[in-house]
Amino acid sequence: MKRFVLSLAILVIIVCYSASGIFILKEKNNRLINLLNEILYYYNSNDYDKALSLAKSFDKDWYDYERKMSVLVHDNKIQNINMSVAKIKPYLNDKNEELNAEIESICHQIELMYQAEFPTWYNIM
Amino acid sequence: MAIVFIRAVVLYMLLIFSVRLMGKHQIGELQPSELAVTILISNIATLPVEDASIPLLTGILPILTLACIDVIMSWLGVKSRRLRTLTCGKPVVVISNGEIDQKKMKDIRFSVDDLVSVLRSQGIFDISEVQFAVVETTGSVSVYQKRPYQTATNMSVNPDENYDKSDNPPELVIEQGKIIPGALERLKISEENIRVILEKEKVLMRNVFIMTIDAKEDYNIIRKEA
Repeated sequence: MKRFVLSLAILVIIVCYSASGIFILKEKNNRLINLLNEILYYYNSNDYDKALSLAKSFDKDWYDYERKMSVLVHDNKIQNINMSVAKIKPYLNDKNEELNAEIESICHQIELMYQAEFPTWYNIM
Repeated sequence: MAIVFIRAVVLYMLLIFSVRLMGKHQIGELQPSELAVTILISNIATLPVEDASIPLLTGILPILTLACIDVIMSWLGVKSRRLRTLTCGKPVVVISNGEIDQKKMKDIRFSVDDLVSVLRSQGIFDISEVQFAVVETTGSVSVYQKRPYQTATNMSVNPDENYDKSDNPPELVIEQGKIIPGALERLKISEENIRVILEKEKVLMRNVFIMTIDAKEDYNIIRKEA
């Protein structure tokens, strides 16, 4: 009976952890995507200083997100996004036109990561 | 390298915990469901050790999930015979009244060679000596010999003999100079009695390699080698 109760408790913890992981991922994704959209907005409005300060704030958030996600998802997925994140500040400093595409790419990959973790029929199969 | 080492240690401890959680069954003969879980767990455990880019948690979660499901299924199996049959199967009688049930043997794909080899491993070289044989769900075969071939027991030789119902075998009470917790309580012998015996034998407890004793206080002491 002791083992049964312990097993049940562990299973409940795993289910709760998995479910909360997905919600946390969604929340963090939204925050990052919002930040990226703001950077893009200020960049397109030619407010480069504001865009740069937001990019610094994004860097901090991304570092926190990367640390947490490395516990949940395969390192390769995070490394791909990392490459794009590293380009944001140099592109902003150079006022490079490719910033739009890079930010779109990050948003898309972050969204894909959430979609891959969400327990849909296709993901399970 | 350090990461691989730490991961291996973590997974080793997790596997020990999982196997302990699953209980004694996992160490002896395995039921089909337990075999499946064991194979899966051993496979899953190797992945995060080999590849540091795979999160350790993706190894830990499925191992714990499988171990817990196994415990829950076996607990439910104790409550429900139908579930037990579903997960473990049913024992199959292959010899009854001394006759081989060929249809059953064909059903479970159990060849005569398999049967004869199992009988030989139990010291039975003539199949006509067998009265009843069952292939258990673990794949082992339980055999009941015909009466003339059965080994004589105290009961069959001397049915009127009175025997002591508390005639348990001797228990290990001291190992490497230390008293084993619980052993004395089971035998209902006090620690003081043990000390008296050791004094009588002129041996210090720390010099005892092993000591066994039974409820009648018949003991055997093996001293540590100098």
